[in-house]
Amino acid sequence: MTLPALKSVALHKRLQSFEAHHGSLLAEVLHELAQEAAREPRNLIASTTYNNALVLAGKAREARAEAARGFELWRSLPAVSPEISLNLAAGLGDAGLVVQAKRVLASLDERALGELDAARVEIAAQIAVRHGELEWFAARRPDHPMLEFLARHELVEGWQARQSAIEAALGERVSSFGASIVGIDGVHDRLALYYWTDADSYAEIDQLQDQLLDVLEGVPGGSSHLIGRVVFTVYGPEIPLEELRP
Amino acid sequence: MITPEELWAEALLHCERAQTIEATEAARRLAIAAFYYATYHFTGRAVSLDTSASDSNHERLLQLLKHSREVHMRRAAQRYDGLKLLRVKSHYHLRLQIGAQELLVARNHARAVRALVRLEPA
Repeated sequence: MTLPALKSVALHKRLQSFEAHHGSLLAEVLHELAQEAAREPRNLIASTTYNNALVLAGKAREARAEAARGFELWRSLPAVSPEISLNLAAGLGDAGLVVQAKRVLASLDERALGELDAARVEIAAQIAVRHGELEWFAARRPDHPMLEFLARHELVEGWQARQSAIEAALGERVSSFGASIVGIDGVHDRLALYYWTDADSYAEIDQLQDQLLDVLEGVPGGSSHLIGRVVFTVYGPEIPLEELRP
Repeated sequence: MITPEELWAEALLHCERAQTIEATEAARRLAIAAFYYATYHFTGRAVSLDTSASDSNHERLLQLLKHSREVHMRRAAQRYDGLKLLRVKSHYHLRLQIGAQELLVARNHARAVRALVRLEPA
């Protein structure tokens, strides 16, 4: 692979410090990263960093294209560091390119990665919950808290069908996804699923939220058993470049 | 004596103030809580649950909506639970960032619950 471009590395570090209200800064960095990726099309660091910025900005379609390009680049390179492979896998997961994300993660399976192992597990967990790849994930980490949660509440059966239905309806609008267990009162924990999208207004976010809940209701078995256990929330971009319309 | 409608009107004011440029994260967190409690009391009244009784009624309210035969009430349950999750994060999860989106998604949920529980049975 080409030598790491220092500018990409610096911009990657800068991205990590961004918060939700840093849209104008992200717009600047996004512009620089787009130029960097165009100038060095064989640089996978530039590609994954650009992809990360696109994801944060909620540019779902562009992020998917960049993740796919990054995957082809990864395939053509003789060696890629675990850090970059993990960044690529995370981007592919966000883009919904599950087969490719699994392949990149599998390439790291035989390697001891030390502190990167937690990141590897987390990327796999997010892919598993979002896309219903529970068996695949259970083979890697059967004791993961999210799997235990789903099993305890008898939610494993039907999970993949429902998640696939959500992806079919909303997947193209989703720029990133997050799942976590949130303690409510020590008894009634929730599995919280966050869908970050390219919606640019709160009215559109609300429409997508209703669309998602319609999908849940339309799947065989309905959604009643999910209520009080799983919360699906739709948002706009993680870091909107411009303020969302009311 | 105060009514759920008065709580709702106050929650909207909190929300408006919490959206201004100079508003703090604390203001957004409090506005989310205001939406939650206005919605809790409004919805409790709609389903004849005494919301003044105890903490456990928060979960009871969710169960009442969840087990309704009406689709729109189950939808209200999902929206109410989304709002409840945001309220819990606002009150207890101080390390998380609560931004404008969390506030306005909470408002969306609260508005949806109010509209849904007002619907007549099909």
